[in-house]
Amino acid sequence: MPILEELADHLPLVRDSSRKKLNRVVNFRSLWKNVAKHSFQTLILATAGFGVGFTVNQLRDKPLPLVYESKELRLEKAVAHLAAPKQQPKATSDILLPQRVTLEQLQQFIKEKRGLVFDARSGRLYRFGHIPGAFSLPLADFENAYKRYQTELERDRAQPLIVYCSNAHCAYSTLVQKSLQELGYSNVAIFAGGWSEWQENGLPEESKQ
Amino acid sequence: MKDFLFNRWVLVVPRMLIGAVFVYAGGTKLIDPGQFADNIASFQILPDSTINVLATGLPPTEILAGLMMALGWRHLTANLTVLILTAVFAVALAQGLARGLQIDCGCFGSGNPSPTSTWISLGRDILLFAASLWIYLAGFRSKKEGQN
Repeated sequence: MPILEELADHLPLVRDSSRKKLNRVVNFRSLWKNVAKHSFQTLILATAGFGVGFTVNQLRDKPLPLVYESKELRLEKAVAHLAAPKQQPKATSDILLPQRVTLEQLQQFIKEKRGLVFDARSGRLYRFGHIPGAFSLPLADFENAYKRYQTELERDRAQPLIVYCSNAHCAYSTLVQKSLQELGYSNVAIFAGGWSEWQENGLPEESKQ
Repeated sequence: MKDFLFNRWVLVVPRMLIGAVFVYAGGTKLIDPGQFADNIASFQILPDSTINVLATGLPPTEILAGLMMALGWRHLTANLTVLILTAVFAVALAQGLARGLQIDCGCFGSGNPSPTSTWISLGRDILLFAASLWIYLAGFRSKKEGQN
């Protein structure tokens, strides 16, 4: 055993000092000596972790770029790739949605099959559970997801569409609504209460595992 | 009481639990690094050039540290890593709450960003920090008088 540690073990104990009391429980000499060693090993651990992370990222279908691009910027780029019509669509539907719809309005909308409902949350959350009949249009993969529904959507750019995300605090539905409007869709509303309000009211759920 | 709290066998359960929590947390982030990058960005403290680097490197680091803690291999090193990570997360969450930001901490994948969920995340993080500190300190338990 190193001399310092041995000395620490034989130091006299002073009962009225809390520090000394703590020293009786934890061997701080040994601790400080080892913190440096553990910090160095932590650095090695982190290097290994980051190394694995970069390798895994390179093996992904769509690796993350080196520099982060905000959700808004990614969405703008995706919208720019998708051709938007030069002319504004004529209203072909007799239903003109407000900018935001309530839970009751959404239920009525779904019941009467007035248009399409889109879930702007991530694909994983959508698979766990979503509003029955809603389609996944995740902000994170907007371009690819949009292409899946492009034919159906472009049949009528004035058809009523409702977008929702997690709750009133999430911005995904607003961003997707804005992107759809930029793509020429004139009748897009948000269900602000989102998935949380739907669940809180004990309404039926659909999941795709 | 302290004998009980610092008993190596008593510490095995929380050590394995913390390890499992970190493996799970790292796993959920590793599945969707893009989402995790958005979560980091919501804290508004790091420049864009560092966000994706962290989003790709941090999840495997959490998994490695979690595995080492759970399996007990160089667990004090992993424990120090967990301590550093939880301390950094706590500071990041606290500054977000102080600035009134809508943070989705992304601690266990994506959730519902709200002030309540951020407070819950902070509380959970402080609990993890305290438990890790206890286990780390227990690794340096003083020998009893007369013990060699």
